[in-house]
Amino acid sequence: MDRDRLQSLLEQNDRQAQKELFEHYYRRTYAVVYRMVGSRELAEDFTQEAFIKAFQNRSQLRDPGKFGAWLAVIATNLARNHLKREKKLYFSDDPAALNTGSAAAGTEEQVMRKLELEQVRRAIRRLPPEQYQVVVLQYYYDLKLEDIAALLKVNLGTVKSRLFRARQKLARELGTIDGAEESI
Amino acid sequence: MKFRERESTDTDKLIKEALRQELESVTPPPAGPVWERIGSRLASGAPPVPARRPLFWQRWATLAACLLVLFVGGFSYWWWSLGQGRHGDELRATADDLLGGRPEAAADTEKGGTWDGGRDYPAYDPADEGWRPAGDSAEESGLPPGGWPLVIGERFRLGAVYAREGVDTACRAALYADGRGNILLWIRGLEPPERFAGEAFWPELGISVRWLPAEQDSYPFVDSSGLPGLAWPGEEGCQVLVVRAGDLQAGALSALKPALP
Repeated sequence: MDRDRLQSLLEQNDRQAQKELFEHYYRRTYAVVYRMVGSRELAEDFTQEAFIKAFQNRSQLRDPGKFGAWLAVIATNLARNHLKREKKLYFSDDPAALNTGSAAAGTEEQVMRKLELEQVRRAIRRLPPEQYQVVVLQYYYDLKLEDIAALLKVNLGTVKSRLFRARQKLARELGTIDGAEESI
Repeated sequence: MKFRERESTDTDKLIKEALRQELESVTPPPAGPVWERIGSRLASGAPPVPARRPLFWQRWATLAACLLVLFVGGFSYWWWSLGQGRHGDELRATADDLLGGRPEAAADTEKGGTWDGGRDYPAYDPADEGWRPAGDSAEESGLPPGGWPLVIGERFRLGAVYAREGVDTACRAALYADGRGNILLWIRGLEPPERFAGEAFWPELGISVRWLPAEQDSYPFVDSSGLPGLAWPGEEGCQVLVVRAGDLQAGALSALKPALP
């Protein structure tokens, strides 16, 4: 959805506009929060709550182009608060969900690539909620660090620190710790 | 399993692709019923407010509120600074006479109580850097007698004490804040780095540091977030004073160090 259309729907903000926004962002918002809490019911609740909050408070969003990322932040903040209250971290190691095709198929290079992707996916599932949030915002929503800091309402140093640690963990899975240190 | 060598940009691509696969492999429940619930919640709650510009009188009301806050804030700062100045006692006494008494809070401050630095600054959470609370007293934190001073540099008050998560039990940290947005972490019991020059990851500290030109017996640096720090070897291993929030520069840390043991 392009920026002009987004802005127009947000300004319109009637039920039809809200429905169009919901249909466009529902799947990815649900997926982001589901990977954090690992429960379909909770993911559905937090996604639903996030859309309601977003529609009711959309005047707080300065850049309409970041509506999707903003929704993800609202939803994952709800999930973070829940996990903090429950004092638990969700770790999923469901091998079925990691099925990226048969690792035995294709050239050696392709097989290696698939194995590496599975390693990183496992590591992503083990990230603490704060680090998962910044990884999603940077790598999935392609936000700049400054934008992430503004959306999460934390300072830039905190974002860098969380991202550095997340990349360290992910890179460690690949045995490339040096590369992760140098690039942040 | 040993994977091949790669550049960090390649690692970034791999993370991006893995995250995409991870999220796109999730199948959400049908959107229809979810939208119906959202729609009915929106209909039953406060009606959505259309995007609009604030009215003329609302802008003036906002401006008036800001001016009031500025005035109250300025007066509070003036009142606070009365107690900090060279002639603070006399001025305060005069002001107390005029206003009919001295507030209890001022007396409490002079007793030097411990201030919970983290509570007012949610933007910095030591847990993000692998620190966990380790009790507030010197005895609890396992440090030798003397422990952590309640105040350093006259204005930084002790917040909470932390220990590093994991196997390293000797490493301890204390959070200090000055109530003006500056937060310092003082870390003791670190294994010193291999060298105090260049740029390297300091595993004990858990961050990358770039060393600046050394001073007499201490070593300033900038961490991977661009925040300054100062390291110096001591009896309890290497010690570090590192800025975690605020705008303190490396020079200010050097000025604080003589007050530290």
